[in-house]
Amino acid sequence: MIETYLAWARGPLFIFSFSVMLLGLLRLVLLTNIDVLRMIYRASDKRLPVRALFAATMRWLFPFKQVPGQPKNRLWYSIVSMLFHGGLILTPLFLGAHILLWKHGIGIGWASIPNRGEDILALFTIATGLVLITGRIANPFSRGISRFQDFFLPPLLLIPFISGFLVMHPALNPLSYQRMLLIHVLSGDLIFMMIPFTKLSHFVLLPASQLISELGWHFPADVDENVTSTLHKETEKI
Amino acid sequence: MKKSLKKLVRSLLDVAFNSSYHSTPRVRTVKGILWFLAGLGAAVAAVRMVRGLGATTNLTDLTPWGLWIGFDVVGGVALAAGGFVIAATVYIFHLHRYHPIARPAVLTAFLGYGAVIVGLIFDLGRWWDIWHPVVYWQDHSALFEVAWCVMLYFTVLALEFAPTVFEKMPYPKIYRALKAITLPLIILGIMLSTLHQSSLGTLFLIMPFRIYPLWYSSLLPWLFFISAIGLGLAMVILESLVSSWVYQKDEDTGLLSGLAKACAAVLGIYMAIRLGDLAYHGKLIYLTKPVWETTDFVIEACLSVIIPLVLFAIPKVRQSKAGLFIGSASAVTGVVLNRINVSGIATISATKTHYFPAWTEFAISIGIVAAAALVFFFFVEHFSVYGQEQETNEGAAAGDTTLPAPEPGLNVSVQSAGIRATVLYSLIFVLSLSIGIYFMPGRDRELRTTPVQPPETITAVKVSEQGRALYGLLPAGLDDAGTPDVRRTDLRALLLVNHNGRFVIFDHAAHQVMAERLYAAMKEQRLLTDAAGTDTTAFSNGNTWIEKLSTTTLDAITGPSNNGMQHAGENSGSCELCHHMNYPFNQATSCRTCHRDMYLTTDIFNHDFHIAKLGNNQACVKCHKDPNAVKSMQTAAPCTSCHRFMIARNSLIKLQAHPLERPAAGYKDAMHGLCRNCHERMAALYPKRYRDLALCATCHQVNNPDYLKGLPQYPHPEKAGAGPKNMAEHEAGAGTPRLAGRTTWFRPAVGQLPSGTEAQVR
Repeated sequence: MIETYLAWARGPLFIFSFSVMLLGLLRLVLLTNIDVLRMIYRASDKRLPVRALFAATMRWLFPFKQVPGQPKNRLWYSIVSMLFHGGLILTPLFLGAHILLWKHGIGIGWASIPNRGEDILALFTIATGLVLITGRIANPFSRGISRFQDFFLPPLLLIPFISGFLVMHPALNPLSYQRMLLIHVLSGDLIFMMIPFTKLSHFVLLPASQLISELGWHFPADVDENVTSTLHKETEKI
Repeated sequence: MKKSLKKLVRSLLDVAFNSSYHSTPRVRTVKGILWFLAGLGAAVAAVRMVRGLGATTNLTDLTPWGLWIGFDVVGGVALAAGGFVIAATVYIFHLHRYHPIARPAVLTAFLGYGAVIVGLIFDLGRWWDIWHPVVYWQDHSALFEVAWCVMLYFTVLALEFAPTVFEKMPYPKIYRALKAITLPLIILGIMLSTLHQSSLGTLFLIMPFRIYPLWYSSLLPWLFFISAIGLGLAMVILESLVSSWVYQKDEDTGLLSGLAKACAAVLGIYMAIRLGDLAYHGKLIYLTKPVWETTDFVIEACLSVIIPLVLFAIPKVRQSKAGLFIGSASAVTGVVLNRINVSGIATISATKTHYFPAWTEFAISIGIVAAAALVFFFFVEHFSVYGQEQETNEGAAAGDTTLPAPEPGLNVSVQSAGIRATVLYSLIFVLSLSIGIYFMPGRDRELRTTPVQPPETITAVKVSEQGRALYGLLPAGLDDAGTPDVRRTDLRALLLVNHNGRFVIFDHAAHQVMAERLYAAMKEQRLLTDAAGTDTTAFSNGNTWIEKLSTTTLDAITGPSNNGMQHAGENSGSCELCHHMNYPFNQATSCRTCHRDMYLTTDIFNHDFHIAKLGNNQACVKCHKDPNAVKSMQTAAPCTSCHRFMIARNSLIKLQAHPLERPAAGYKDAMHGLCRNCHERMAALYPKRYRDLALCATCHQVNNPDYLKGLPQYPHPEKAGAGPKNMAEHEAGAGTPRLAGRTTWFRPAVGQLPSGTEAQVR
């Protein structure tokens, strides 16, 4: 029975969820590009401060220094967050067992990180993830600006890491190998399906985030008239 | 250069970001459904391009033209006929009141031909060679003419429609030039259409014995052409009604009823010619035959002609939207059914194939139509296809100042109003694409332990009747001693049965005798080994045991068979010559224990069993010893590290090294691999004595697959169970057929090989 579920979860369901992720991300990128194009098309000032945009993006990507809107430098938070993000991407991508699956499935493989290294990465990801979750709950400011998905997603992301670690270390595994593997695969599938519809999509949309904010202030030429007409204050003087 | 490029981009963006139509819930629903269907089609299309026709269609060599040719190509060309019919009406016959529907008709024709080309690309096995007719001219081919007609008319249609696009672009010179050549283009278009519509009929003239008589006619080119005119008119009516419904415009039914009148007349003429032709050739008698083709013909005639003719003949019905819709939809369905009939369904009787399109074929056909409809809507929304007066209907976007709804949870809107529809459609498209991929027939690369089609063996008895072997199925409850009229029996004759009921008699006793002699000879020549046999060469690569044996020894082996039971003597090690691998604590494990599927390679390793046996989660390290290696079949400890006697030492089959001892070849391949190799070698060494040994018919003597099914005692797989499905069942003896009733005997036709089998000697 569990074999059948496992075959389904790592077969058709995986293909489905992975295509939802890939196509969904492609859709988001295309939509963003169309929106950017449209904003540039409408804007009266079409000049873009490319260098400043790049610098701002980098500043947000590596937030060691104080960024506008934050009360102070958050060095430790930044390091923990970066470790978490790095582990999140590197661990599944360079796990030998995953690469072997890709090799079986599509015939393409790549270099892997040794299992010992993977263990360390996975444990770091789990630990930093737990720290970040605690931080979000404990800090009243963070808690205040958090939505449901901000609380829901980080623990969900940790499930495949914890179950994957236990699958790799059967001696520590309280459940049977296949049961734990099923949890691992199903949670992974769920995450793949959720990526394009939640904030997890920021891993492809990040390059556009600063661009969109910048373009948001490049108003169309007739924006002032539209604002006054929308507010029905055409007759009033400014 | 840069400036003109900028101008082009600017004008394209002008068109793309400025729609004169407001997106109503009805438009969104219709387009949403179309995007869903297009997505499904796109998923199948991608798989078809990568993995070919076999993976995505039910087409065969006997039915190479299926739904795609019938519906998309032949039907699509006919559906596009509205273009040239309306163009002729307006520009040649100067009936200018039909001018408002000229543009949509030309657009429909353009998109129809586009769909034809796309459909054809999908249907061509080597679709990347579709450009060949342009370069390699084969002027004797009807398809060559069709190809050129499609290419030329598609170009003409593009040019005919181009003014609609260019009037919105800042290129007045091109627009004026296109306008100037309108009339010549239309004349050219009518010529090409006439040629093409009829030549599609011509295409089927070459298959008089394939198409059912009710559809075959030497007038097929005429019939195709005339029905295409009627269909074109019906299609224009239908498409006007549908688009006015979608965009909630007022439709001029007076205009459409004029078209309906003409449509009815043309379809009437078409049916008159068709019935007249049948009568002239004396084929009307086929209408009285009680076969399904008659029903098909009647349905087609009702849909394509009779229903529209009756509805359009009544002026009141002709004026009403419902009457127009039902009549034109019926005509469109009927004439397209005619094209599908001619190109496919009416050939079923002659070819005796049962073709029904796979869901993937429907998905692509419907997906192409959906995509064409979406392109149609795009042109309607962004260009003035239906003329200026209808453009600013229903509160167009110009004065629309409603603010977009805020995103839930964000409190700001990140999307501008114009992109919201795109957001919805792309979401639907992505989801339907993924659903299509999910349901795609998959390619399973993983080895399975469970067989799909297990092989079957039936124990038979063998008796000697006047010096010749006679084989019989063994009835239940009888054994060696219980068959009184049988002088000498051997229960180990087997019938190796596959699922078509074909079987091979395997005389185990006779092979045993041969094996014992071989074994003795090998012993004498000191060719036996004590180690497990993975170090010696494989059976098939030439340098084998048989070449090491001296000819004198072999002569002794091939001495006269006494057909006896001399085994279990000092040469009992001879079993392992064939039984090359044994189930733990077992000797001479049967072939089908491991070769457990008739055709597929299966995995003989039971992972779950070993996990449970070796201590659950603590067990992994017992086989996967290296903690740094990826746990896989390749890196696990070989089976022989625990099961030391699993692999026979002196087998004729030499397994390749670990880990390839795990996958077992399909039963058919395994039997052929062992039996045929040995037979061929013996036949080559002793051409006189074993002249026929390597012939297919030596083993495959019973060529009639119904032979076994005809025997009352034969356990049909569905009744008796088809062999053990896994190791546990095998051990419990489940699925082993038990026979009831009396014994049925049959004689193998040794020496009576069918003529022509000599050619099969390898």
